[in-house]
Amino acid sequence: MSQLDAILGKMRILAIDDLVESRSAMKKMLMILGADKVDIAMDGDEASEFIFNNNYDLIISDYNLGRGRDGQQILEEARFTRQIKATCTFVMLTGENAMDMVMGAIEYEPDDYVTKPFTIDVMRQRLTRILNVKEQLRGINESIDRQERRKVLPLCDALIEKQPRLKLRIERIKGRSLMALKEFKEALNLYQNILKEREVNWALLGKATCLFHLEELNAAEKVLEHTIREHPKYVQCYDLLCKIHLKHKKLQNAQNTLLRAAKVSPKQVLRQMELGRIAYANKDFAVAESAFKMSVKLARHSCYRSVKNYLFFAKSLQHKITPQNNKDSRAGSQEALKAVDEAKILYKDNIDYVFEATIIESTTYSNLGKEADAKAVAEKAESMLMEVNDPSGAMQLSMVNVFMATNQHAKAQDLLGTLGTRKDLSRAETRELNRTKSEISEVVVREYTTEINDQAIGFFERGQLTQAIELFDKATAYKEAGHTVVVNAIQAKIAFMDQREPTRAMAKEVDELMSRLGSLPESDERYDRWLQLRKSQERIKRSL
Amino acid sequence: MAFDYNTLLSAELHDIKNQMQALLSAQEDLAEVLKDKDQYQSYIDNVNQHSQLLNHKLMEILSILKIQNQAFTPNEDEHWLLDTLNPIIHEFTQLHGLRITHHIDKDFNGFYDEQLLEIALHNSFMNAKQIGANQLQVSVQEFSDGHWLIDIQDDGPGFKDKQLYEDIFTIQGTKNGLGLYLIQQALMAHKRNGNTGSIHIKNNPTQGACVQLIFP
Repeated sequence: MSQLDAILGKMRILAIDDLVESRSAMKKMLMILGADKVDIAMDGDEASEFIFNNNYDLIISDYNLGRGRDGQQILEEARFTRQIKATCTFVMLTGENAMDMVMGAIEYEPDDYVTKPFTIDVMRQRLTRILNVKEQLRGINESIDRQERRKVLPLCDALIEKQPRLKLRIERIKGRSLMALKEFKEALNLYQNILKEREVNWALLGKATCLFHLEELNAAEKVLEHTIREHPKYVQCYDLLCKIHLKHKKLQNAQNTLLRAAKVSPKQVLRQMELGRIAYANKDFAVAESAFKMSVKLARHSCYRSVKNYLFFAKSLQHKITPQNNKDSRAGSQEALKAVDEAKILYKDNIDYVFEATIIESTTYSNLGKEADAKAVAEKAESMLMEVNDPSGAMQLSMVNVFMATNQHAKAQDLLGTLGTRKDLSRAETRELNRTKSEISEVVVREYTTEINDQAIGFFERGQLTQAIELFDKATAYKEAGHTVVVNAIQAKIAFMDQREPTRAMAKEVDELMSRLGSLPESDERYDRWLQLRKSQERIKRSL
Repeated sequence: MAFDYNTLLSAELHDIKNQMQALLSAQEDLAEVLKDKDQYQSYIDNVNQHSQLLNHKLMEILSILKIQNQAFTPNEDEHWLLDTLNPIIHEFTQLHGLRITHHIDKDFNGFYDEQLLEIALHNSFMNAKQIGANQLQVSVQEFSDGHWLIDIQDDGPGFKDKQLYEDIFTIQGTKNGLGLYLIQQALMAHKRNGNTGSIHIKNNPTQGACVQLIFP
């Protein structure tokens, strides 16, 4: 086997296994077979690091890597991010239980897999074979690496002609290329021809995927159900089935389907994220919580890390957080605050994300009944929102909700006013806006305007009329502002015009406030002041 | 809580598999270190023989558990037959002293569950050895309808008449019976377009037995 010696000797190799003995054994085995440059990694994180920093020709990974990500995920991520080339050979070492998941992977299948336990003889045989095959596929893979999918197709046909024994393997690449080019009819044809010969699982999934893209949803669903019956562990089928349920707007079915898949293969981040989102939409917070918890954990060191996981996890915990200081609530709030903190640190440069995290933090305190904390955090969110150049409707809506939860209804009202003028709200956001509007209590707004009124009187009494008018304007902007506030506002404006000079604009404002008051009955305690002010109003109007 | 044998068993087996892998590697290291010291070779061969058998037995247990599982489906995939066959030939040549020849194209590939075929081949070879054969010939035949078979001929005394007329092999009976039963189960797990794999045994007109592993 001197040939294998020579090939391995030139290769940069990475071996991944979580068990220390297996790791060093694998390295030794590779060295005996002729390898020279072998790195070893103990888990997904270490592997990602190595893959990021090096250019490997061969990667051999155990499927089962203990608590972190599994070998299939390492492969998917590395191929997805193009950190390993299509020409790089990936060999998976697997136990029985993972075979369906590894073999069926439609997009990111390993080049070969070896079942444990294996002898050096087996490894020699397999490596010799797969490296040889990979060499024959080199032209095709190089085109893929250059992203020249169009060129891949004729290369595939030519190689099938030359190497009929590799037909199936090449057709698998061809099918994938056709799908990447969105030529689903042609791809469907290819898969159907393969299936005439034999029910290969990836061809079944390929067929279903094409049907899905060709909008033949029922046919796709039928193929998938058949495939799942035959290969219950073939989780990729569940993912596609879930998409079909979503298209049919059957959210509960979609959730159940993904739950089944997550049970078979709990470590797939994207699937857990999708499950979390769907469960959250279904208001099944317990499922959403565990899915997002898993997503946070799995994606922490991967390319799929996303702020959404942290935030949705914290949001899906809210259902168990209550002012009653019970165990669930304590644990839930701790986890939520921890997730929020982690998000704030990881995404500290993105004010939108930090804002959203702060909103959830405030909500957590509100749900805990810690009003002072909730309000303090709400204020932080408020000032962040002011820093944002062009805040989205969603951000403003979350702020409104936090204002409401922290009894700052008048501020909520303010922001709702702004939101009402936006033209870019989605249908859901408009619904949310209307719901919130009706929730705002008039009484509370009136309390707020009274508060402003008191401050304004302070300015008025100290002769700071400009500041007083500014605040009265703010207070009277609310339709709920009481008559006292309106009378005060009129008085301040008239005093201002008497002291400086009357302006048409301000006189008009006074007119408007007057007509808002209507006529006060004699019994009203403000009647005399009102009469006096009307006289002044007439006088000023005449002078203009 | 009910005692979950399956979980417990598979956890234990997973550990055993890892230990087995470590043991095989340790042996290979030892063999590498001692490769120039002829006086130790017989010991190494002896250890190898036993550990290979142990390894094989472990695989057999796994496969039996796998087949008897309700939700069992074989992991049929495309493999190169020689990749599966060569290590087994190597083992039987080196450790059990059989002479095995084959006429199989190095690029011949077929669709099968590799672990199950290993069980079938191993049992076929072991049966031949136990009955007293010294020489084996392995070949492959392909048919236009897509089915194919592995033909294994030995130079031993052949099957007894009683065995030849049995359609289904049972676990009862001789050691060979168990072997044939396992081979049959392994083949029957293979399906294609409504057809199922099978085993066919016969005696050669001149001498020896012939076992055919038929894939649908």
